[in-house]
This record gives sequence, structure tokens and C-alpha cells, in this order.
Amino acid sequence: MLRYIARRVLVMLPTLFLISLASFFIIQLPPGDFLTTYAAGMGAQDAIVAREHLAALEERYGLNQPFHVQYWQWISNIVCCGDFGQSFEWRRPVSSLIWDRLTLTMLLAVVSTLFMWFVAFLIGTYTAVRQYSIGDYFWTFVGFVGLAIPNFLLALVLMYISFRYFGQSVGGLFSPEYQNAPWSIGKLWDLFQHMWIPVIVIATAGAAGTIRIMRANLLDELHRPYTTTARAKGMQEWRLIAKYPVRLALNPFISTVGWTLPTLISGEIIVSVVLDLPTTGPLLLRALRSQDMYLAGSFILMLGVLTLIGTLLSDILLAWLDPRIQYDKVGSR
Amino acid sequence: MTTTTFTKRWYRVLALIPAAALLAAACSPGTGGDGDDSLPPLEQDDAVAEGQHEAPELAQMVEDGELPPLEERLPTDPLVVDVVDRIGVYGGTWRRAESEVYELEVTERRHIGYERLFNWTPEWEGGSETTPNIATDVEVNDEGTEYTFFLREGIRWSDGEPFTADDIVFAVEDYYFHEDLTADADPRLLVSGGPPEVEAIDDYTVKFTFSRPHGLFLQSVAEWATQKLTAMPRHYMEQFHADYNDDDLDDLVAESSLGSWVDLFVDKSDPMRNPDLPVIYAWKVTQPFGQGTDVVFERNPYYWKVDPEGNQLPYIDQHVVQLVEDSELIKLQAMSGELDFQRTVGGPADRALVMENAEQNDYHVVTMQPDHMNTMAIHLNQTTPDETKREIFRNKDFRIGLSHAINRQEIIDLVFYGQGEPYQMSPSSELFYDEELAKQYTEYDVDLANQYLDDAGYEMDSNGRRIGPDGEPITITMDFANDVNDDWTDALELVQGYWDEVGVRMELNGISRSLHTEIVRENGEHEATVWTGSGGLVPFMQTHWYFPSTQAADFASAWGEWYLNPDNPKAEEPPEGPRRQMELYDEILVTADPDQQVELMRDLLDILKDEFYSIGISSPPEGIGVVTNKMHNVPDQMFNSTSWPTPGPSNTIQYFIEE
Repeated sequence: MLRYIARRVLVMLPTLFLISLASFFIIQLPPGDFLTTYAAGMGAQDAIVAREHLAALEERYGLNQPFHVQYWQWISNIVCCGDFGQSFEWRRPVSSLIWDRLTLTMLLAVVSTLFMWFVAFLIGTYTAVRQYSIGDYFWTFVGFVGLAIPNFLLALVLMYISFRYFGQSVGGLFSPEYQNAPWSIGKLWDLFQHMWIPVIVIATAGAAGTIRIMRANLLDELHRPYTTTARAKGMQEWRLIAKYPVRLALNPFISTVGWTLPTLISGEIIVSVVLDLPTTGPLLLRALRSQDMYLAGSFILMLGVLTLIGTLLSDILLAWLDPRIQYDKVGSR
Repeated sequence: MTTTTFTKRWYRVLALIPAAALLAAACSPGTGGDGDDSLPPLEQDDAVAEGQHEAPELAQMVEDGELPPLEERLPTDPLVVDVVDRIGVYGGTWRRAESEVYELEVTERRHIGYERLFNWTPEWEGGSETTPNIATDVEVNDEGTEYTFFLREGIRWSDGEPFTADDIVFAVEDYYFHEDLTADADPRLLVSGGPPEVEAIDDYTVKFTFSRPHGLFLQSVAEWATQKLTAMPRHYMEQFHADYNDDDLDDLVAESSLGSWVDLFVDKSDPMRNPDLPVIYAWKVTQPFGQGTDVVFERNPYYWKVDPEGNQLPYIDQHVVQLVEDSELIKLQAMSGELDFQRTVGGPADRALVMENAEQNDYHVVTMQPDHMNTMAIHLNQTTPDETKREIFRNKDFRIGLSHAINRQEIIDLVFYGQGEPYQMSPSSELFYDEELAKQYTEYDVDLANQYLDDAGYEMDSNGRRIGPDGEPITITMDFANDVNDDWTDALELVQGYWDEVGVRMELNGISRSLHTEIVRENGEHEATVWTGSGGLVPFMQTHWYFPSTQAADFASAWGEWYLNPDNPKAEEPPEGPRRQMELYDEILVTADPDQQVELMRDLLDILKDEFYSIGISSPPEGIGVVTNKMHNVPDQMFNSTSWPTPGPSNTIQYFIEE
């Protein structure tokens, strides 16, 4: 097991290097750079930026350097000192920008993932046990509707409802009066009043898939001989299902844990933009649009790292949860 | 050399305003409360004696000994600001939202800190008026080479230190024209025949000497780009300047994790980012830019302006700007009455919706007069790289023909919601408005258009296509930025149809605005493009749509380059007409007499009429802003401009909030 982990970690290093190279390269692909975006933004306001000014900024930001020099400056600072550089647009250290928004992003991701699991687990189990019943069709339908409605639309509808019928302020995670207030019980309550919309939106989108997987896996197990045996021995039906088939059917939940890690920082970008959530997703989108190289690059690099760690974590968890899975078999990976 | 007192007629009139305001104060019931009919509080000792002429929190701080009393904080002769509607009350928060980082960043210039030696007036007629602000007076010699400003005595930075002539000398010598900082500073408007010599004659007198006359200097100090001239507290900034700090500057740089002292200096002198920076603004940042989604400003206890009753300004305690992720949210928030004053809300399409909700949600709408001249002006680049296209575009009959071919009323009705009227590229300010320039060739007449195009020498072939001098059908490639203005694609598709009818094909190439900047603005490689045309209200300061004065003159990029620098490899010498315009503008720059400047500008515009560089579509509709009904003293109408940094010159300090 330990050897396996060590090997996986070693393999991650070159992957990471490639990810960092690719992300840095892709960000530079669109025509122009941050300064053209900046000049264009000023131009849209009819303020013409002087050539000398742009040239000096180019010098200061090192944008006139060749690709490999820029890349080296960026990556060497990250590796040696954990310094992700400065964001051009915000003129603040990249790490502090990301940190600022990370707490709420994580809270949102964890709450909505738990909510999604909870819903998917209940519905998945129910629909498998009562296969082809009215309830099965109904809940499956609900699940698919959740999947089919675009997230942003659902967000807009819920926002309208909350504004129209509950009189809540539009957008954000806090009411204006709590926006800059220190943490308190009131603020926490205010947060939860606002958070139900994004939680529902994000959860409904993901729930359908998990419901189906749960249902299919459980259906496989329900007709296995061990279930019949247990039933024949007079075990109570619900206890039986919870104890044996459900536990086996849980695997997909665990194997997707890894995927939730990257969403911690990419968030649900569109939902966050529509709902104006102070999470990291919109920050990434903004950075990409303004070609804020170091900020966007660091984001993508962190997404890569988290995906790799997440995959490793879920593999380990799976092995721990399901003793049938073994890693030492050569060629299995 | 004779030195005469500067005599601009408007300036004299404006100088009377404070006096008039004081008289008005005498007639209105004072807050003093003993029903005194005595003289107005001309002497500031009287005005502030009761301690009721400041915000209650400040009075409390004075009482607790945390702050000197008001009379020690105010100048001996504080600037009296007239109120738009009535005397206000202290308190409240002004909430705003922005969706662009760039717009959030200019909150300082626009909303909280428009404080120059001379400010633009709230009326801003033609961009020729300025009014005393930090300076109480200026003396200009006859040639316009020497400007001596007399500063208001006793203005203090927000840390209590006095603001003196030395601060201005520091800003000019050690910031605008320091070799390492000059590029960041962008000193274009302060140059006339080279950098000025600046001298602090005494604490409150500062003299600028130019080697060549600077006819637009008073306008320049009121402009967008000269913000830092009065925003460099020498006593604080010296520690971050390499010329003044040999001891621990390196340590400071290292500590800050910024790359160099230049970065550190720029960062520390940024009033949006550095809460420690002393300012002379009405509000001072407490939650800086980039921390969380809001930027918060609080009242500056040392602010140096008072209302006509002698109450220290500003009225409003706090200014909060929220960065939202999408401009649609600004609309929603404004319409639910959550933004106290938002200067632009939505576009022409949203006008009806915003108005409809006003009563129900307790806000009203103010109008913004746009500074740009046109909804969409079409520029055929007369210096485009392709020789054939050049020849065609330089043919004035060709341009006139294309102009007549456009059905402007239809575009206005279909695309611009019926708002505006057919309009060419022509100044909209009354001072320079010229009916003929504004309306020439705007009539929709296909026959006339065909006649002009025939006269231009490009006959139609059997397929109804006009043939260029190279024997090929004429096709114009239109490189336009499709993410600046939602309406342009629609309007251009209509134009495409009209031009097809007269035998000229246009290919639409919609690109992002950064690519547009690169192709059009930096390299001038386009055949044709569209833009709005800034400077409609202030022709003096924004000239590139009137004659090729910079590379941003999209109708002849290379001529603009030539005016900036004839040695630039991209530059090309322009023909007679534009050359004459350049000479006229050079003359304006060295003319000290404002009346003569206006005359010269009119001559310049006459040549524009004759040259007919660009094809305009229609006059831009007024923008709308939203004000909650509890926010008062916001003018019903103002300009929307960067030159006149909306809403700064409307005196945001006298806005107030009362439920």
C-alpha cells in the first residue's frame, strides 16, 4: 500500500510539470496579453493609454520576455518560495486573492456535496428497492429534470422567488448589512438564508447522475444469492438492505470524492457569476478574460494539483472501504 | 516680463459663487439656534464656534481629545461649496456596485477624490471652464509660459499634516518626471516644450514655468490624467522613494514582496489600496481594494470644504462599493433600491424597465449626457496598408456616397430603440455645435448615393458590383470590436445591406476588443472599423476624432502617428487638410487667450467639415443613472465622461442621505 502511494506520488511530479507548462502556454495563446486587454478596457472608456506607459508596464511585468523566461520566473518562485506572483489586474499577491475567497468556496462545496449525497442516497436506494413503481418514476423524473435544467436558469428562477416572496436582497451570500460585519450568530443565519439557493442549484445538477449509479449498483446487488439467503433467514428487510447491498453500492460515492476537490476552487463558475457569490470561480473567469497570467495560471495549476490529489485520495479510500479492491496486481493501473 | 492677473470671464463669475453662497447662508435659518440676525459667519471662528458644524462622531472624538477641534482642522478660508438643493444632514452610507475591476479602481478619481488645483465646473461648458479648488487663484503671464498658483492656506492631509507647495513640487519632480516613475505617471498633459520647471515660492505659492506656452494648462490640471499632481503627500511618500531613502528602502521592498522600489512606490501611493496613505479627499479608504468584494471609504476628519452654513463636508459618513460578478446584477440591485446613486444603469434597452420600477422601489432616475458624439461612427482607414483600398477610401465622393446610402432612421428605430437622430461626427457642446457639420450627407437617398459613387469613378458591373481601380469588385473588411457595444453587430448588418444596394460589399469581422486594440489601435492595419467618438463635449482635450492627433484616429492611423512622432516607422505625412488642422491645434496649445482658442478650434472644425473623415450614424441616447429617494442633492442631469470624471465635478461631497 505505502509503496503504491509512493509510486503514485512520484508519477504525479512529471504530470504536474506538464500541467503547469500547458496551463501557462494556453493562457498565452489568445492574441495580446494583459496589457492589450488593459489598453482595450481603457479605450472602451475613451481614455487613450500612452505608448510609453504601456512599454514601461510591459517592462515592469516582464511581458516582453520570451515564453521560457516568463515561465521559469513563475515556476521557480512557486517551487522555491511558494510565491505565486502578483496579479496584474488586482495588483495583489495571487495567493492572498485566492485565500480570501477559499473559506466560503469550501463551505459551499462541502455543504452542497453533502446535500447532494444525502438526496441521491435516499432517492437512489428508494428507486432501486421499489423498481418500476410510481415512486420510482416520479423521483427519477425529478432527478432528470434537475439535470436537464441549466444551472444558471434554475439559479435565476430561485433568485426571483427569494426576492419576490421572501424579500431577500439579490445576489451574494450576505445581506448588505452583514456584508462587512464581523462574524456573529446573525451573520451565520444570514449566510444560511442565502446559501440555500446555490446549494440546491449545485446539488440538483449533480444528483441525477449519482441517483442512477446508486440505483443500478443496488439493483445488481439486490438479486444476489447472499441477499436471498439473508432474507430466507428472516432478516428484517430494511435492515438487510442497509447492511449489505447498500454498503456495496456505495463505491461510486467514494470514487467521486476526488472530483469534488477541484470544484472546491473552480466552484460552479456560471452559478457563482449569476448569483454573485464571492467564491473563487468568478475570480478565475475574470482572470482568464483579462489575461491576468499569473492569477489564471496559478488557478489552473492548483486545479491540476487538486485533481491529482483527489484521484489518489479516492483510490486509497476505495481500497480501504472495499477489501476486494487490491492495488498490487500488476498491470491493473 | 509683465505679469497680469488671469482674467477668464467665467472664472471671475465662478469666483463669486462662494461669496453668494455665504450671503444665502445669512438669509437661511442657521443651526446656531439663537435666532440671530447678525452677520453671516464670514469669520470661521464664528462658523465653527458651537462645535455643531461637524459630524457627531467627530465632535465626540474632539471631546474625547482624539482629534483637534474643527477650527484647527479647517483652513483659515475653507472652500464654500454650494449645495444643489438644500443643506444636508450628517450620516449614512452611499452604496454602489461595479462589475468591472477597472471601474471599481477609478472610484477614487470619479467619486471620492476629484480634488485638483483647479476643477472643472459642474456646468462644464465646452471644456473651457475651470474653477478654483485647492488653488484660490492663478496668475498667468501674457505668453502663457508661467503659471503661479496660490494655494488655499491650511488644507491638511488626512493625518493632520499641512498640504503645501512642496507636495506639488514633489509630485512633479519626483513622480511625473522622475526617470523611473514617469512611465507610470503618464505626464503628457504637463508637458509643453519639455517638462516644466516647478518652484515653491513659499509654502502656499507654486510656480510652473514652461519653455513653450501651455495654452491648455488650466484645463489639463482638471483632467483625468493629472490626478496625482495633488495626491502625493511628500512627508509620507519620501520613505518609499529611492532619491530620499537610502537607509531602509531595500528592506521595505523586500518586506512588501514587490519586485522593486518603483512597484512599492506605486503601490503605496495608491489611495484605493493603501489605507495608510494620507489624502486630501472627503473620504479615505478603510477596507482597501482587493480585500473581499467590497471597498469601503470613511469620512476624512480633515476635509477642507464647508457648505454655505459653514458645516464641514462631506455629509455622508461612508462610501461602499461592491464588486459584483455581472452587470445584470447592478441593474437588479439598482431597481430594488439597493444602490443609493449609481451613475449608469443598463443601456437604452433597459430604460423603460428602470423607469417603470422607480416609484414602487423608491428611487428616481437621473440622466447622463454622453460625451461621445455618435452611436457608431464608421471609419475607413485612409492609411490602410492596401494601396488600392487607400486610393478608394481617400476619395471623398466615395465616402459621401456611402453616407447617403445609409438609412439612418431605420437603424435608429430598429437598433437604438428610436432614441437619437441622424448625426455625423460633430461636437455636441453648444459652444462648438455646427448644424451643417452635424447633418451633412445624412439624408437617405440611394440615387444620390449612386451618383456620388459614379462620380467617384467606380462604375457598376453587370452584377451590380462597383469595380475598384484594380479592376476588382470593391469589398471592405470591417474589423470591429463586438464586445464593446451590443448594438454594433446589428447596426453593421443593416449597413451591410444598404451598401450592397449601391454595389459596395462589406465583410463583417467581429473581434474581441483586445484584438481590436492590437490590430486597429496599435498597428493601424484595419481597412475599416467603428467606434463611438469621445470628446463630443470637450473638443480641446480629446481631439483624435476631429483630426488625426494620435494613433487612435481610426480613419487615418498613420497620420496620427506622424503628428505624435514623424520619425516613427509607422508614421506617414498627411496631406494639406489634416496638416493645416495640426498647425491650428499647435497654435491652440501655445495660445493663452481662451477666446482665441475657441476661434482656432472653430477653424479646425471647419476643415473637419470639408475633409469628412468618418461616417456617423446617430446621436447617442442619454444614459440613465439611478438615485434612491433618500439620497439628496444629486443633480438631475450630468455629463458622462472621463475628462469630466463623472460624477466628481458635481460635488459628491454635498450629496446627503435622509430617510
